[in-house]
Amino acid sequence: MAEGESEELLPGSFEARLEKAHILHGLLQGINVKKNPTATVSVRQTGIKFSVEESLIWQAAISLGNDMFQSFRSTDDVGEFKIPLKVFLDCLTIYGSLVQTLLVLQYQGYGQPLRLTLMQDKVVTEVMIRTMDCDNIQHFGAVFHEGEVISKVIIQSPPLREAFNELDWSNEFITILISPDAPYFKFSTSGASGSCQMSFPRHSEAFDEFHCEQTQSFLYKLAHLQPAIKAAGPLATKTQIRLNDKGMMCMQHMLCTEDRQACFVDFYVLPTEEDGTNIM
Amino acid sequence: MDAVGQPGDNERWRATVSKQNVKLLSRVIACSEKIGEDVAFDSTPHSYTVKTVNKARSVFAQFVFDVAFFDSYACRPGTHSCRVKVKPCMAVFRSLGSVEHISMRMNDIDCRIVFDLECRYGVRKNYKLTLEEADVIQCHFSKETPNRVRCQSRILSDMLAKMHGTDDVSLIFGNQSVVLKTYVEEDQLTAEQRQRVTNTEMLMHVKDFEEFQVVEEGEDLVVPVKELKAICTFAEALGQPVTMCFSRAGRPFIISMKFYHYLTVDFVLATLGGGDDATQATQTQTTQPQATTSQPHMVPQGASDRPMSAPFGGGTISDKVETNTPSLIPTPHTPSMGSKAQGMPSEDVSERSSFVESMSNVTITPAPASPGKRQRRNEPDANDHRRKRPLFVGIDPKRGGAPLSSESESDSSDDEA
Repeated sequence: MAEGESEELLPGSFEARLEKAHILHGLLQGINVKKNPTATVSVRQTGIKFSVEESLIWQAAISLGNDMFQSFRSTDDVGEFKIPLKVFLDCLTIYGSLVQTLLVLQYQGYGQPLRLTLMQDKVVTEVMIRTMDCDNIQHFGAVFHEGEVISKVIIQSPPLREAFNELDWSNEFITILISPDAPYFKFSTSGASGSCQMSFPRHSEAFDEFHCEQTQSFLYKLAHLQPAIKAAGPLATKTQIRLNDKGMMCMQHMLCTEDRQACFVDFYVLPTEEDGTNIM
Repeated sequence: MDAVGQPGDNERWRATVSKQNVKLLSRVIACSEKIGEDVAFDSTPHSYTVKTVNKARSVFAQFVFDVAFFDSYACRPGTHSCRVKVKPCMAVFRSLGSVEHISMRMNDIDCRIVFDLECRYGVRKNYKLTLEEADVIQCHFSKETPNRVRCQSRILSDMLAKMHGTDDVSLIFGNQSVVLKTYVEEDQLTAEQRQRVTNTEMLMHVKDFEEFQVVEEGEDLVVPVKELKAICTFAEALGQPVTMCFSRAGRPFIISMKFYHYLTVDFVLATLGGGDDATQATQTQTTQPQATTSQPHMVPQGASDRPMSAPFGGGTISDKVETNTPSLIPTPHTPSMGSKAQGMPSEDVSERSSFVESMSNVTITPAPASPGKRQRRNEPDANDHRRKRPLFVGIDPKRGGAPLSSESESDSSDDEA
């Protein structure tokens, strides 16, 4: 939390200090699901959110509360900016991926670069990453909540990941069905070589919670869901899947760091129509 | 194991496999995947066979499961054959850790094989694989060869691991040792390639073998290395010794193994022919017979699958095939023999000539062959990047074909296409 200021913060700026940079690196793998992603960084006094998206189709976002950092100070009008995620991740592991690295992040306001200071023992590295403007901010979360949430399922991440990995990825589409009646929770793909279906019964131990008011079945592009599942990664313990009445899916993974802190990765994805166009 | 019963109404066969045995089945599929693109399932009330052939048609693999392997097994009378692409099959067996129970069946109506898996957490996975339309694969071979050795597969695979940069290896069996060496066809290489070739040669001593009976020694048996590695990996997973039966260059080289009473596996590899008039199938789908012999040829109609005895001691059915060879060299895609493309298993399998349906080992070495002389290959087909080798008498899967008969001078083409 904020400590006694040694210097005034400029308007629209923030400063954060993290003792174990590799934790941030591991967490950000959750959104490193695209080639050459550009991450949108959004800072509030409550914490930082990093997000990656494929415009109008899906968005992955990870929110880190300010309690994850050893110190966190920010003004309340820090805007949003974009940085290349790969560069950022590479810097975090500049001394190696498991080495204890101290990270200080500083941003002086709009137009200024994001400054990283990385220290390991007595070696100091300073990095300035140019920030980019953020236009066309897609507020997937807001759009999601405009619809009514019909189904909500909390499932353990490993069985979900395993089930997804077994699908035939050469197919283009996947149908996801959630229903209060059998088969409850089912995904299926079909293609020239055959079809594949996985279903989880309602009372399976894999589920922590299962709420569904009415049967919903939507088609998604498998290529879009792939980042959603990749976002779970090895750190995810639980996943919450919510579908709204338009078929927009919010998949939220709970990641646990080695310090037992939890943080969440949200993944929003839109369904596709039968003929392959996107809804909305 | 329950007695074999009758499957459901629209099914030709149905089987369930327990958790422990699923792993073996998945290894069989994994090995088939390394060899061929398609896998055929043949089921009879007494056994269940998985077969595959490689693209160049020089390696044939057959895994015969005894009915006792299955937790439950039901099959209609007769032989039911079907074929699917092997990659979707691999997907079924991908993560076995959580599989509790697997059941498979073949649906008559919609021409599919269905796998139902019950896994941890109550998850049910269901895979429906569409059947391929294809001819029936069969290969007749005899293990009554003059030479026979048996050893642990690890010995062979350790040696194979050292062979690099080569498509083929040659095995030379002496009466006290076996030499394994890389085989490169010199005249196929350009001058610079020849400079970069690495030749490796390794020796195994008879002491490493559990059984070693080599009567005709010194022959250079050249077999494809990629499939041989897949075979050794599989054999190591089984943990059982492998038996190799072979006779001369150009004759089939058979590797067999058993896993208790559940599974009998045979791999038949074609070796590079020896002798002038040995023929090649430079096209993967045809033979180009050149020699004439007076041996009896075609297996008469209705012949069953018994291994044929042959004029030569170590004979295999290739003798039969060989003799069909008096025909002219056909053009690349002439079907030498073929069977009707089959989508569904046919009931009349036994009625067709086994010759027709067989992809017998060709490496035709008719009697007058002079030993030791390597066969010149015909012009490689531009379409097949691999050197052609004498192979199974090709069946052009797309066209039917009449069995070659001694009477016909030319390969007759489709009469059943």
